[in-house]
Amino acid sequence: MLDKLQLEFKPRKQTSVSPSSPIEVITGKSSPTHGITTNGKSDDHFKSPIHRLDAVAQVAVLIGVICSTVIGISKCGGTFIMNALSLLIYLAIQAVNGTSGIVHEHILKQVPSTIDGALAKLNLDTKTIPYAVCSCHCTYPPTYTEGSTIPTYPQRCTHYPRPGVQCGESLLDSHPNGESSPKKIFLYHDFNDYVAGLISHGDIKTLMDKSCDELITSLPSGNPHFVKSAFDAQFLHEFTGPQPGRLFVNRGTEGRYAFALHVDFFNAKGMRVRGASTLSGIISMACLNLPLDIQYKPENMYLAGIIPGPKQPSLENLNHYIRPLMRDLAASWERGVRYSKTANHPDGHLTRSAVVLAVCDLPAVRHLAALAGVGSHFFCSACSCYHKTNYGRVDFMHWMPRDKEKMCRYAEQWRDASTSAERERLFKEHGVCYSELWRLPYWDPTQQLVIDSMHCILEGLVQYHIRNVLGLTTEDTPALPASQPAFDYTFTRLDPGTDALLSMSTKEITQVSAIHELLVTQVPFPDNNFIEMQMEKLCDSLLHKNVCPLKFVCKSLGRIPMKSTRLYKSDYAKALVQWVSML
Amino acid sequence: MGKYVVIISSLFVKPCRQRREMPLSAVSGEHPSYGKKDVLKQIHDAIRETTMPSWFGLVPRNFGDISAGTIKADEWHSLITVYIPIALISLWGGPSSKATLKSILDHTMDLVSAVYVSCARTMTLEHATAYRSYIASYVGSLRRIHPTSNVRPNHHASFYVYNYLVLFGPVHSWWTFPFERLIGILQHLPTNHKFGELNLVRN
Repeated sequence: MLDKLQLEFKPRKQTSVSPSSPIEVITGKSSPTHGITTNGKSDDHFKSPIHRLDAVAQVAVLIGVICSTVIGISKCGGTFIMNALSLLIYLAIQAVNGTSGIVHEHILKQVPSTIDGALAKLNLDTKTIPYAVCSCHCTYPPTYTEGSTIPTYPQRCTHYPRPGVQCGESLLDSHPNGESSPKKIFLYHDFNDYVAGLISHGDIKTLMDKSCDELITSLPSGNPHFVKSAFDAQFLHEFTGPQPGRLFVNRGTEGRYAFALHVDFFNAKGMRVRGASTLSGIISMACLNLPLDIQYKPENMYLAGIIPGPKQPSLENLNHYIRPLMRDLAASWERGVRYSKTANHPDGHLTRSAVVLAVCDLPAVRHLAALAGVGSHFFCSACSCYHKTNYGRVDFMHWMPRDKEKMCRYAEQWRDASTSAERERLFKEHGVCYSELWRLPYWDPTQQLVIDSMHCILEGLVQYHIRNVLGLTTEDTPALPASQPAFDYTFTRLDPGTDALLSMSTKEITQVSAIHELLVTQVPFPDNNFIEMQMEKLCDSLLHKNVCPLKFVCKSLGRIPMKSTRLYKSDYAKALVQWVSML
Repeated sequence: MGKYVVIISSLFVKPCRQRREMPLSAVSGEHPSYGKKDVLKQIHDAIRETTMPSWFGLVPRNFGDISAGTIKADEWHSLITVYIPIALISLWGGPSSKATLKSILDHTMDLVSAVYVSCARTMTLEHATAYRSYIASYVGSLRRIHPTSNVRPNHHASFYVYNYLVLFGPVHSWWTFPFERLIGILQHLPTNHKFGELNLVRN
């Protein structure tokens, strides 16, 4: 699927790419993502190989490519078509001449026998790196022996999914003919190859540089009042580049590209009403330098890879799939990537790219940044609002943004923890796991981890308001009617965080609000017997709570039981029941 | 005698008053009830009779039915910015409508305004501030006007859209519509359910 998509997405010439960092010592050659020699990109790749073919062979290639990319014929079908075309050409030559000369044999040789060969003639193949995937989701880059085109992988997984426990699963399936291939593959589309494709177009390259230059010239006049794109807005006006004290967009002679990163999980077989059964993931990016009207054209977007299903990786395991991309991005930020030839720079050009924002729906945001789920008490990724009881807070002036440095420290502590129990404790305490995004030196989840307005507002608030609040659908499920409180009473509320002050644990603080809810529960039938029964039930429920919260609620209602001896839980519970029943 | 009356009344009046203020069960009829079918019919009329420019996203004419299918994000956008305000204002906006219905309408209009402002193609600081005040007013009075509804993490997250409007400008450069479209393209590609085979064979 991935291959097919990229074929459709990249109907353009590729540049000759030999990305090497400007610092000669650490050229890309040592890094695994650049070390691939199989694609054999040579310097004359700026010209398309199709030009060197005979007209007859060119038409044959064109037919094959259109069958594959436009009509969607499978690989087997494509091979059949290519071979049938060869046969047809051969027979046509025979019919006209009787025999075939050297020229004719040369033409026949030029017709590729597989559909992949045909695509390569049009430079439609992209540089992808097949990573072997273990059942623990760890990914392994291929290695190539000198002169060979067959990727080799380690035999067994050497990853430690939990501290101290090595996975050790076999990565490869061995075939009867002695060959072995990975059990599961994650294809990573090389990021630098994508940028090379983008900047090999003169007009696109000009537009990308123009947005940086316009920002720099407009800087002295301050932030524009009417903001029309991300390049007019505050973040890129203040985003410092790799050199301290210098803005990222202040590009000098380099190319500076800003990207939006997106990760989502979807059902590869289409949406079903009953919900997703097989989930694949997608990692994609869009270049914010481009004007809005071409920014999201499929051919300009970058598809880093598809996370193979059928199940989505658990929280921290997504890291294995974004690691190749994060490595490329970190290298691009720190060392820069030099392209040997672009449309506007025949002698090569140095570029740096950065992810300025990551946008996903709420669950995927937590997945990407490896934060505790949206249903947990750490429900906000941007501020330190803690505990579910705070969902409805509106005093936004008082919300404290989360501290980026602290989050980074917690993440690293989690990564370096020596036992699973320690990891669990850290996660419970701070709600942070290690995310590969921390590889990027500029990563700040409080600002760059964007809340997607489409999911949050349109599919979240609006849908909830119309469906559940106003109930404007005939199909709404006859869910149990939410029990509404019998009356409104302003209880003394507790702020989570004051637990140390009251010598109550976090759990007990939660119980305070639970007790409040119990006290205002409705009695369904206001009949005397029923009320009595309900009060007994209430007393029972209250007895399940701890003493401290019961005592606190009694105190706040001014209902401390009168008793000279020691006060027990039951005394407080009775006092509260009395407050409810009153008579 | 009078003394006893005072004592007795103080014994009983206080609890009685409290019981009146804090009943054991909610008084029925206090919560707003409206004919949902009438509202739906009004929305259907609005969808049918409004002439919209061709670039504006279409919505299913039988909105609310099971056969209308899953309502997509863009359809929610069309509904909340055009059809639902038209329908609700024409139903509940008149001078003779009940106060409770008017408060529901005002509350809904807060959300409509927030969506309208947040999806604008040009952003200013005033726009963003207006967005946040609408959301604050919407979330703040949600439990008061609709006591059975729950507040969700989305309600909290929606406050932060303000920050990103200021940091990154109009939503169009940082929402997931285009990325979801990419997923749509992927879902419609024919596959053989084998991953990455094409590439391996070539190598």
